[in-house]
Amino acid sequence: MTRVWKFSDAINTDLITPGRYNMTTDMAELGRIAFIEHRPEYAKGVKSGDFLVAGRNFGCGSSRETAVYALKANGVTALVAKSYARIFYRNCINNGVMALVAPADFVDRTQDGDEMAIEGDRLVNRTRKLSTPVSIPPLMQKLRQTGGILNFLKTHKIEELESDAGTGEAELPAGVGKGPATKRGLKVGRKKRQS
Amino acid sequence: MSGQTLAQKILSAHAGRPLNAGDLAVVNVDYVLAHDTTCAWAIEPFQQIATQVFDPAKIKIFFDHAYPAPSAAAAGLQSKIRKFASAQGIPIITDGVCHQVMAERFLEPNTVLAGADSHTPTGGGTGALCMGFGSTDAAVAMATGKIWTRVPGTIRINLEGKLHAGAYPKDVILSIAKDLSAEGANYKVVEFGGSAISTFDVPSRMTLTNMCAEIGAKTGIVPADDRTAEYLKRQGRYHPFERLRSDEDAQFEQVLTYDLSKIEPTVACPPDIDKDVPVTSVAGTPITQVFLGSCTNCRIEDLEVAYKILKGKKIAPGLKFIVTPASRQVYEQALERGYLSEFSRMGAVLAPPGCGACLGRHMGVLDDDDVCVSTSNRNFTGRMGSPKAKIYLASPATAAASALEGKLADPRKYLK
Repeated sequence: MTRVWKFSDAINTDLITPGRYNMTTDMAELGRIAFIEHRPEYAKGVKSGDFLVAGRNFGCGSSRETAVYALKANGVTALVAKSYARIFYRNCINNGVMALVAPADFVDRTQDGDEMAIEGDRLVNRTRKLSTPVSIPPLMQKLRQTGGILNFLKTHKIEELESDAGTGEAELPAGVGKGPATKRGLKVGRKKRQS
Repeated sequence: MSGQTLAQKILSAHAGRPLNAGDLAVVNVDYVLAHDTTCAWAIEPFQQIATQVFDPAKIKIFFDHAYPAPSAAAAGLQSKIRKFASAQGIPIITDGVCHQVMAERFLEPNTVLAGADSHTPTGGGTGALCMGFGSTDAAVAMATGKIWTRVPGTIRINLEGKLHAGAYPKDVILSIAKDLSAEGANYKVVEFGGSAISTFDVPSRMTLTNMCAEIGAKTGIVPADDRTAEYLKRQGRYHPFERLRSDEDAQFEQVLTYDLSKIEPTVACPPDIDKDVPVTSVAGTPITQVFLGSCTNCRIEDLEVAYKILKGKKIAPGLKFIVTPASRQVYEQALERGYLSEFSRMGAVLAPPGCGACLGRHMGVLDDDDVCVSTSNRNFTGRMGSPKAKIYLASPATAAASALEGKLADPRKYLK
């Protein structure tokens, strides 16, 4: 079976591959340091095909691509989160890593150790009998199929990516952020200069 | 169709076609930035797709994250990068934090920088569109001179009024972070404006744009104006530039207005950037280290603020006080003005220009029991060392006042 490794909101790249440990360009070594301080049992226990399920703003923080390499090195099937930080998300797309956005309810009800699988076009939590549709943006799909942007560029020009208009970085799911504040004399207007 | 935002205009000019929010575009970049960590990871990807970089003059490689190398592993990565750079005809720059040096020497208004570092938005203080990417994107940009990007929407933040003594640009951006949250600007551009933006010089603007990375933004930008021209003249490299602005009918996703007179000295409490409180509510918290450094807040203007508070006084006994000027230029200015000798006399550790203690790799790594007041941009768990250590982010003034007391302190009492 393939299991879930559940993580919280705001898992930053310093937690995935801390700056003090990622002084290497060796993929296998990076796989071993994934969550080395945050969750030391992860790298020892994770198996190819497992799922990593997290809350909001997964991968926030530094641009270090080692965070994606480390997760990829361990062969997870997919990352599943409520939302992603943009550089991390791009790094996933470029590396052909499946980074899925799932509804908050699906993530919240999923527990560490649950059995998860992709069945057809649905992501299924077999333990909780939950499922949600899998929607992979075309650009992510294309770069997954070609094995990442580097492989793509061996046979295509970068301009050819433009044909996937509107499918690059995910748009922010609705309702993200604390919303506009009104404290300290802060005035808020939306689309004020719209004509 | 509505008008374009500043970021959309810059991206359109670099794509050779009009772009609006949501478009997927491949754009030309004017500069590519990588450093001793991210460049190491870009070499092998680069070699998979190219043999020569698109233009060595447009690629800037810095050693700043851990320079001079603190370990054999770091030295090994730097050797690997040196060989690559040398073969490509690219000089290695070792004169401080990449973002600071990019602003001092290279960036011009309305240009596009693809930087393999999350704090690339710092350069937006010069009116350039500076976006952070990973190493693979850096490799692609070095090979092709291009980057794929989704054209972002823009959040406009207007600054009005005047800051009171003791409140600084850092307090402004921490207040914004509190309101928007660590993901409130995800995938967006933050554009600063309002009548008070003309009172912010370029170094102050860089503190604002630097921390746009911490609220998830693709970048932050301040439209170039007289202050930008003044900065470029001071750096001896002014060329007339077009004063691009967002169109009157541009659609912003959000417009926020801040009354600067309401901004107080603010501290981001561990371990989140958006856990911001007035310094008064945490004043008295014992600390063990003060880090005056980073691309956020260690320009000469920042050192001047700290110097004025600290001059002739003593730092708290036993406190580790680390001063890391952002660049060699800043270091030399601080030497000439006597700031560094005064900091040294007080017992500060003067570190070479670079990222220093900010990312916990060397020169000020924290232990379990350490509590640090830092002028940098991240207070994540484990960011500066032990995951048990605590990091409070603050302005240089608050950091200096805290260094005197050995506790988190309100800088206003030292400004009278």
